[in-house]
Amino acid sequence: MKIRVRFLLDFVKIFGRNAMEVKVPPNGKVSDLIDVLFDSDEKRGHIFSEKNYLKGHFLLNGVNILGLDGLHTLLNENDEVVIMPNMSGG
Amino acid sequence: MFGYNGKVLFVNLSDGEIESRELSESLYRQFIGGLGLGVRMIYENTEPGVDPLGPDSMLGFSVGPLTGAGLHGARFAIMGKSPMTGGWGDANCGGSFAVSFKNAGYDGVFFKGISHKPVYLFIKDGVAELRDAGHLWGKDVYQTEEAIKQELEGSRVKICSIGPPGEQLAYCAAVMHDQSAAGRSGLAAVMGSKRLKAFVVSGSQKVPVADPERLAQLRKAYLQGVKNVQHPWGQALRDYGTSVFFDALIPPGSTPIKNFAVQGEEAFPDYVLCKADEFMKYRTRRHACLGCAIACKGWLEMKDNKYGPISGTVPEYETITMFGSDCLVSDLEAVVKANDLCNQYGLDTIEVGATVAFAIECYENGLIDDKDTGGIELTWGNADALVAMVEKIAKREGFGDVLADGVKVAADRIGKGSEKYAMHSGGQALPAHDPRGDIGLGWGYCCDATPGRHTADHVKHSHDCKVAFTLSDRLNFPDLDPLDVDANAGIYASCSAVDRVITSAGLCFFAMWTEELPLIEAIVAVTGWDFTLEECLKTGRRIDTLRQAYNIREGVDTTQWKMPKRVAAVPTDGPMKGKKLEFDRMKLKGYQALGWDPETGKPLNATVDEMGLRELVGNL
Repeated sequence: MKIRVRFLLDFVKIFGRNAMEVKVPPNGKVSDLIDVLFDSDEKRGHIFSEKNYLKGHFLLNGVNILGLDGLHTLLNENDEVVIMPNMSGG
Repeated sequence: MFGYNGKVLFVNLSDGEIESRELSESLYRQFIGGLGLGVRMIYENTEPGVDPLGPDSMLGFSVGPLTGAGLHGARFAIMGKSPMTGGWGDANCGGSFAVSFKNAGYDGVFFKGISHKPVYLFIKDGVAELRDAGHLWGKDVYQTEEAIKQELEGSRVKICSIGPPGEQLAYCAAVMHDQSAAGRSGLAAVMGSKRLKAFVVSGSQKVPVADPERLAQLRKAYLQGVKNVQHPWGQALRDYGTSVFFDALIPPGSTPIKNFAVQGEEAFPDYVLCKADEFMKYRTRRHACLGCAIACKGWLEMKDNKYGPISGTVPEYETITMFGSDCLVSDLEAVVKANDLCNQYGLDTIEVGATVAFAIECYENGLIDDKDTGGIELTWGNADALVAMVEKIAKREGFGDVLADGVKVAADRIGKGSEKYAMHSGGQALPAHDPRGDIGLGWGYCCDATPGRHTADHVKHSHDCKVAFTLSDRLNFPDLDPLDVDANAGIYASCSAVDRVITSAGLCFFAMWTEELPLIEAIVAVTGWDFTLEECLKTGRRIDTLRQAYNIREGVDTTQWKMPKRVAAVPTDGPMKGKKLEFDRMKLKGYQALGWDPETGKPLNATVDEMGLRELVGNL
């Protein structure tokens, strides 16, 4: 099934674009989308800490996956996922 | 003694007496400098229960051992009893003041009493004098700085001053320097109450350091790291300044929108009109605090602004949020104008923005009307009303007088159940971070001795975000789910300690996100002490504990500092939908981790003894 992915900030540089369409298996989860997109150790280093904790934000149709089922959150055809760094300051 | 002047100044404004006191090296080592030194001095030299705006309260300014070390900026701290919380208050500010202050020969200056006429203090290379400020009283900050420069040594003098809001004891007022603010805790009102218009320094006496060669090595390596910074937060700060955080924090819901009522891009799609790139169109140059290689500040020129031409600073993230998304204003020119008004008059953009957002919600819900506001239509997104209201607050005119003491006092004055719209903790407005998104900051909003602050908790947030920060390799905290408040409490307490040492040493938090700032090594090189990570953590805890002991001594029930109901609720929509954070439990576990009694907020006897504070605080 097709998932529309939108990148913000650092991830625009990492992927060289601000949006793309990604195919994941039927009944795929956010973790499946990550496997497709972040297919090298270098890329995975941008979203997982050394101890394998998520350090980027994933928003599924505008909702942070931390308030859903995290990496196990199920995806549906034509969902939009925003991927961005976790930042703060001010 | 290396790294310090070894003395502080006590100024009694009631009788004009100025006294220099030498301090022991062991005292410096226990409290480092900055706000740590400040709380130690003020705790000992003021009586319990003083009126924050009365003659017996004390206002301190201080610097630290790394001030002027050339590592990363130089911030000074101000401190005293907060009229907003009734307890401990501190704030800090960058620019070039801190280095000149230290080079003028003192590590701190503590003002007591009330002058019978407006004055300012001028210290030049160890010589301090109180000078008449009658001609400056009533002038705004820009006019004040210009006038002082003309009568002293031009741009060589560095100036901290207040504008009319501080003179008129507005809790929203800020102590200003070089268009930057030491804004929180209402301490500009304390300065105004003393009729102290400004504190001016000119210093050329460099303080010797223990190991200059080692410090030079550390500086060289650090600056090289900054030049090649790979850390995403460091890069963002260097390229854009903090305005870029508006782009980064709206989508995940961390930026307050509509007085903290909603979150996310869909709740405020027009936020794109205030993204960092929009401000960059007007930025004429980057600007750095003295000695900082990141240069996160910026100057802008906006000649065609509909509110009049503006030449001033690029608004910071906190300002863009509080005047922008929190008021549903997407008008860039209005945000820049409101920022400039605050810089001109000397106002804290966070407290002012939060108070205007609160007033808008009161107006929209019929608690106040045009008669109250003097005809200003305080509706969501009304840019002209925002600018008009900020000016009214600056001058304490009309409804501005109701709002000038911040969101908590404004709710008390308006009554009618308006408290539910007042987004504050312990009397101080929440800043531009929704604690459900920025969880570590939420811990500080209710656990720190100065509630509702964003500069008290940057280390915690770095930990939550799983990014590297100063000492993270050596602290080696486990990566935990930020929502697990039990598991994170001990880590957060240690993060607080590091925060306190960074600030007390005189550094900027943003140093953490460049390339490993050599915090401990630099303190060793400057002071010659065998300072270790363990001592760093204990020192930070000591400072935290004494700040809290001050609150207890002043009779403040800090257990009642809670998150506003709206902010504590589980969002039903938007990016944080379903995200549940147990703030009450976070506070309970936080106090336990800090060694404070969760029932009373008092530091436990064992904690007081372990920190070596018994002689100073007695039995709380």
